[in-house]
Amino acid sequence: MGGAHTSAAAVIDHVDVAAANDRPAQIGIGATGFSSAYKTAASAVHRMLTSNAASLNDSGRALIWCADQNYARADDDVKSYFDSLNRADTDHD
Amino acid sequence: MTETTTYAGLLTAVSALKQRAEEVQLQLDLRDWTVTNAKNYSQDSDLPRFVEDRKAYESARKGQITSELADLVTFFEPFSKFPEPATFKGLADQLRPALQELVVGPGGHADFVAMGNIAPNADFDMFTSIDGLIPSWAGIAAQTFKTSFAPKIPAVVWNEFSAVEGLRGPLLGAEELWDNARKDVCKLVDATRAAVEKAAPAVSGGPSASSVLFLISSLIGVAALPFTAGASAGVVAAGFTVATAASAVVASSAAVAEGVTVTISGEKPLDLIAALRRETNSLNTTIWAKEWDLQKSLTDLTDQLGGMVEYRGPKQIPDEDFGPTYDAKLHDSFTMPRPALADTTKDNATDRDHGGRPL
Repeated sequence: MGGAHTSAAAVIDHVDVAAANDRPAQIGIGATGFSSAYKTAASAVHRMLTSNAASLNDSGRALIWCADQNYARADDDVKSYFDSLNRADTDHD
Repeated sequence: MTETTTYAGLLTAVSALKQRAEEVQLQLDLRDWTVTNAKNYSQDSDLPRFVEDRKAYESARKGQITSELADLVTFFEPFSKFPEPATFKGLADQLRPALQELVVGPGGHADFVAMGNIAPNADFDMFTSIDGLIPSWAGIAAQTFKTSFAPKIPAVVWNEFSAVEGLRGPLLGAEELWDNARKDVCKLVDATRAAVEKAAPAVSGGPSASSVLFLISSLIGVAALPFTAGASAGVVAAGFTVATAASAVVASSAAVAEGVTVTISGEKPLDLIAALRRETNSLNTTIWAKEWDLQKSLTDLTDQLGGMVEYRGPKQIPDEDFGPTYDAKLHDSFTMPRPALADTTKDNATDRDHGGRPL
């Protein structure tokens, strides 16, 4: 999910509307049209997507660490349990 | 056969119009001069003087008419450099892959600023069963992530989708704006040319010409952005508006269609050209207003993403009791507060404050 957000942010980042809005200054709202407003809004959208991407990616990584370490600890617990059985069973080699 | 001006040929058409207007204006003025002054040349012997005086008038008047129309092509030069509509469509299409990344749920989402549906992103396929995917762990951060953060994700992703649509809408609106504006400026020139021909003595036998046309019809509506934030997720439904292409607005039954009736009229070509200048400037004012709406939808989008909303106090007095204010819930409906789980490190992953251990 974090990757989807990062990909969406990259798409936003690559769209530049400045050249499309170019025209003589006396036409419409001026020489650069709504380029500046678009750039500001696109930056806000990009910021939102990258922030959410970071939250999702970092949380996902944390869950993987948790899982790995819990499995590792579980493995250690099982090993420790069998080791204790081994020690208790003096007939077992 | 009526000629139709293409946008690429606008200045050529204006140049031809200028020349024709000069000719017809001079014909009409010479006719009027003759009618007015005929009584002064009642004898046959007056003919040489009549011819001489008429020629002098013609020369002087021709200079005046040429001077009055001298800047017509220059006047139209800025109007021949409107932005290219198709470029805006291309830019809106470039944003479509971003939408495709931000679709949760089996049915996809309607592309509400254009036509069609955006298919769901497979990356979110397993999300609906997140409760089962994240087991119950004792860690506080993991619990909080599961109960408070994860359930909000579908609504926030929908808001993200809507925000990207908020960028696309003005681009599609601009495509339609400039497409109509190009057609309309050509229509004005065509209407004036038709009126000038109507005024020509050889055609109509009398002055007073007019031509009626419609400009900027069904241009750019503004539709409410349909946020669907789940109440259980506690995400605020935002209310900014997004400019859309008219086709999409019609489809959503929220059309703001606007037709402007324009009349190019006058007694003689100089009057008609004056009307043409006036109506062309008026067209530019209309373009300004429509483009301002597009720009406003973008600044509104920025404000909303930043959590800024218009505050209306109980006094309801403009400038005293109104103003922007920050709404954290609105901000968080777009940008989720970073969960504590995200700040977990490899070393503290299974600590009680973080992931903990499975219950």
